[in-house]
Amino acid sequence: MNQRKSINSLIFLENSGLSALFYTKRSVFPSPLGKERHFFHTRETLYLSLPCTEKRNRVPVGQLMAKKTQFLIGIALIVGAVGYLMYTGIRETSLYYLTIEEFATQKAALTNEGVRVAGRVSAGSMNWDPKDLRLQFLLSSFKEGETIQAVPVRYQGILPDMFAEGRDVIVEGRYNHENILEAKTIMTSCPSKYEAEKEKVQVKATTP
Amino acid sequence: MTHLGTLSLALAFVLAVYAICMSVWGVRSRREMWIASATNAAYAVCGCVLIAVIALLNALLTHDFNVEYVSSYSSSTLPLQYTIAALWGGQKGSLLWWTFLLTIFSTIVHIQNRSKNREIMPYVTATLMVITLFFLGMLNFITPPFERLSFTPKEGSDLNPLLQNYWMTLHPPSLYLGYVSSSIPFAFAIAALITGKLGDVWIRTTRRWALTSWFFLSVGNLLGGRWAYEVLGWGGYWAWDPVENAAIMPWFTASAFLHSVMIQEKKNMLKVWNMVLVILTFALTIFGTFLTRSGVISSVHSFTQSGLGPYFMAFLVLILIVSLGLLYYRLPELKSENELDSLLSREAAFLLNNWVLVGLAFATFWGTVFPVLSEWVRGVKITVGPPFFNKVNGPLGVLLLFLTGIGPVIAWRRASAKSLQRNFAIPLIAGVLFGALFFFFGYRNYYAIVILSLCGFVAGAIFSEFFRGTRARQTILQESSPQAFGRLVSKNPRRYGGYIVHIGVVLIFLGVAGSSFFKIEKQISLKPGESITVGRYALKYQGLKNSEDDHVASQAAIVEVSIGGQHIDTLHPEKRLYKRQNQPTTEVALRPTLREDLYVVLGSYDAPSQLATLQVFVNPLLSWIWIGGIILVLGTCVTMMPSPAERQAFALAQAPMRSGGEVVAD
Repeated sequence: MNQRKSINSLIFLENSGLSALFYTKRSVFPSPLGKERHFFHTRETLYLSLPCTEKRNRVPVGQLMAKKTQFLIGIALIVGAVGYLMYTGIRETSLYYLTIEEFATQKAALTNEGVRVAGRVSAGSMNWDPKDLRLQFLLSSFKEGETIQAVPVRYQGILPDMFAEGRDVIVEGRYNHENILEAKTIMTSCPSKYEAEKEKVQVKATTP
Repeated sequence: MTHLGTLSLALAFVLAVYAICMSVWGVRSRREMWIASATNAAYAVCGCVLIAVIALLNALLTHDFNVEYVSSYSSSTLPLQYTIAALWGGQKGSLLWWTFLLTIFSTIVHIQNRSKNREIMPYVTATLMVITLFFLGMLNFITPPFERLSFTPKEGSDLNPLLQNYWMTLHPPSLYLGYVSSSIPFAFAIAALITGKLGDVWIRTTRRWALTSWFFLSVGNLLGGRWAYEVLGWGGYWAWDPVENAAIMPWFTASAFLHSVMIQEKKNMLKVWNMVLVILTFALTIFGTFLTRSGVISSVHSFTQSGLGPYFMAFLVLILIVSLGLLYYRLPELKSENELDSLLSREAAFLLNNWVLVGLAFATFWGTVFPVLSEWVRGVKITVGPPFFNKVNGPLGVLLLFLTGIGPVIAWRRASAKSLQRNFAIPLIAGVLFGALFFFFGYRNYYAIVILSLCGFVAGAIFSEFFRGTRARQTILQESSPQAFGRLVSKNPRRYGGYIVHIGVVLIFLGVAGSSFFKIEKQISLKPGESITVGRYALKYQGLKNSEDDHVASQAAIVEVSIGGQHIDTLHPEKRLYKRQNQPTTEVALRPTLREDLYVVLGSYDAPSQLATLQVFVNPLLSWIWIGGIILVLGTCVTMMPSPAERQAFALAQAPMRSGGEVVAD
């Protein structure tokens, strides 16, 4: 019992940064756990100088089950929680990600589904009302000469910085019964830091 | 000068191959000379890459627009600091920068270990040089940074305006430092696996590197958040964009490693797990580099595709096969020597923290690659957005916060009911008080109150630890309280530095909870003289003001802010037009206070009618994120301080003569 106490106080000592002080006087060892030999050596000093600060019960709290089982249950709980959260997360928040061509062919089936559609703002279709912050435009294909039917988009809010006719955009929202894509968010393709190809073309296009 | 750059990159490539061969053959045939030669070759690689970096910097500074990279990412009117930042602002430059940092780090490692770890160092050299070789291969054959155009444009197309921000000059280098320094623990882990020297040596040698990597990843993520907050103008700082996810995933696994490594040191357990975490962290940094460049996953940051994807993917697969293969081969030797005593112990809390962190990394990974996976499996691309990440990572984060509070006050090995009762009294009271305080001030949301109470709980746990340690020293050693406190920390910097980091984390949680649950947002179009009320602020729009120089033209709205009729500030949210790229950007007007941030964006304007659209956010407690970040940085610096034992060892190594006959038993 005495020995147990001194180990506890040593653990506490280590926790409070005092350990180095005692270790260096005697001998250097990395961890007090598992090297009990040394404690017999230092017990008296430690025990006398420090009243025990950390008492423990003889019967530990969590030994009702085998340790392995406890840990397995722990792992199962975490894995289960992560899995459950991910499953419901995906079910509730996922959106179909489509290009405008894909969307155009199956839009009837996607009515009232959450979608994210990538396309180009059709030239001459933009209608922006700055007073009420209402935007309407037609989303058309990226490809020149593609003859899909452009999809009307409606949006209310601040116009994204780079939004303009002819820009590539991603529209996130819901396709409603009036055959209009109600946008919740519009993302404009910002020329990324790594977008080298396009800019090279631009440089070449502007220089004779 | 650029020819010199091209030449030195080619030379570096050859030298890296040489270093790999020499170090491996040298250690196989036990020839010291060859190993030394390999080390020198590694130094030379660093020198060559340095020359290439200087050459590119020179090209940028002298506006040599014939160089494709210079004309794409800079212009003659670009301010000096952003011209330097253009060094890592584009694809090719960023790869060169990656390589440069890697060779610098490998040089530091070689110098640190020039008379240590003889058995494993040759393999460390080889591993680092293989990674360097991959990047040099990219630079030499796929994306040569010094490529010239067939003509000389009169003007460059300028750096992306979004990147022309001081946070952006700091954020990428910091993130790269974090990414790249994670390759050092990885190299040591691989060397340990190859040589079978699986003891604590590699862990002890790389502890500071792992910390460094974690440190820069943290700083990089925080700066990225700050940048998004100030520049992107949507009122938030984190959007779970694939590129952001790429940066946070290695941070999760690196955090897990920093905790589990303590269990290996103390109890000789979790050796396999630690190896896995080191490998995973490094693989995730490569994955992140891949993600930002491949165009596989569309993100606001990366839209177009580049040809680098397949190479990165191949390299990633190679890394995983080789390292996991080695791990499997050494599995029998990595058996634990101990087992955990109880579920109610600090070890178990650490282990749980590890699972949660890896769970976070996994969920983030899953959400990021989900569009690709769903396309493979089901043929439809399905994306998950921020709601998914908030829904999954939110609760996991709360659990993590809870464990942060449990960890410090629960006993090692096995906690008794009595010690639990005593140790948890103060934190629990603190938590309840904290939650009640916020409830009293009108923060009514159960989820948020739980998080805020947990913040109080964790803070209570940490402060009571500091308090108990200080008081113990005071009573035993008769020290004054500041002295006792100072010595408490300096005698055990790892532990108490860690606590300081945790305080930073708590403050970050506080800011995140406050600003996500109690945010107020309003949009409105105003004529001059009209007002709007948001929260406790009244904003009066006075009119537009424009200014122009040869780089930027800007239009600012003048907005008078008052609280309860009392005028407190005038804000100037701006719309800017960067002339070279003809791209409008938003300059947010920000009025931060400890209680809440007032964040005003000029959405759009009509100059003739002076009609302006304003978007106003009130983000409660958001400043605490950045304050927490600063405390986290300070705490990490404390954990890097040498412990008394290390200081002693260092002193002994420095003065072997003076220490004379006195031998310290080990």
